[in-house]
Amino acid sequence: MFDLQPENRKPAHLEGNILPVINMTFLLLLFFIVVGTFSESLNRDISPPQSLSEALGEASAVELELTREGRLLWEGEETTVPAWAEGFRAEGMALPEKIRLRADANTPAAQFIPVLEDLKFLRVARVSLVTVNDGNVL
Amino acid sequence: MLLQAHHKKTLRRISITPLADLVFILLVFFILETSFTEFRELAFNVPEEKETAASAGESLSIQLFEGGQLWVQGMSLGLVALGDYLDDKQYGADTAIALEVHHRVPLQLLVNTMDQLQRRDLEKIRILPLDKGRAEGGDG
Repeated sequence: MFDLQPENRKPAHLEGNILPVINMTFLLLLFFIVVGTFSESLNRDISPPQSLSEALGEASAVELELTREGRLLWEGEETTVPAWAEGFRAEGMALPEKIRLRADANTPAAQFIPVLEDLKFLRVARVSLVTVNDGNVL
Repeated sequence: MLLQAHHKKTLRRISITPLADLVFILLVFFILETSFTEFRELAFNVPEEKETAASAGESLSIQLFEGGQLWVQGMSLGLVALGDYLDDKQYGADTAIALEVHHRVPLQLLVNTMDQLQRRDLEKIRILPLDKGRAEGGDG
């Protein structure tokens, strides 16, 4: 009745068995930390088009987002190109010459071209479209 | 003395269960929040009309319709045929390209066309909306 020996031994045996599991979990954790990049800042409603173009450049570029419904977003807030430019100027910053545009692959030209025209009007000289390459590019 | 020995024995057996729990939670968090997508960028200039008009080189007019059909200098081509056409014609890098796009063309088709052009160093691309009359002609 007072012999606690078997009860003491059992948990020790169990812990010994789960150690490889914990090791494996740590390894997986390290893998995800090292190899992956955080996607929290990305709008999950926007899936960029596929292309064979070059790797993404500077991370600090000003980035606008365009959904397939034609909603233009800057830092998660819905805007228009003139309103965005106004806000930019209000903060005392000069409008950038290069803009990065993260647009959905299914955005129709009717939504996309007016944004380009507005950027051209603001003398934005270069636009870089965010794309992906998963190997299914023509 | 006996009490001290017993105390030491208790200290040695720290439970690793909360640690394992925490590691699992962290693992699930990283699996859900991590993205392995390799982003790229397709950069192009936004030339002003006068800039394109003043271009000394050749010019090329391309119309892009909804189903991916292309009209290049009056010829109907597909996307692959456009590549062959450009290879055949050997346009120079200073060729001004007017890419007129039907309003229902999805961005993916436009990007595919621009990919074909940029692969041949044709970067002076002006993207324009296809005017309604010609768009309707192309639809039919």
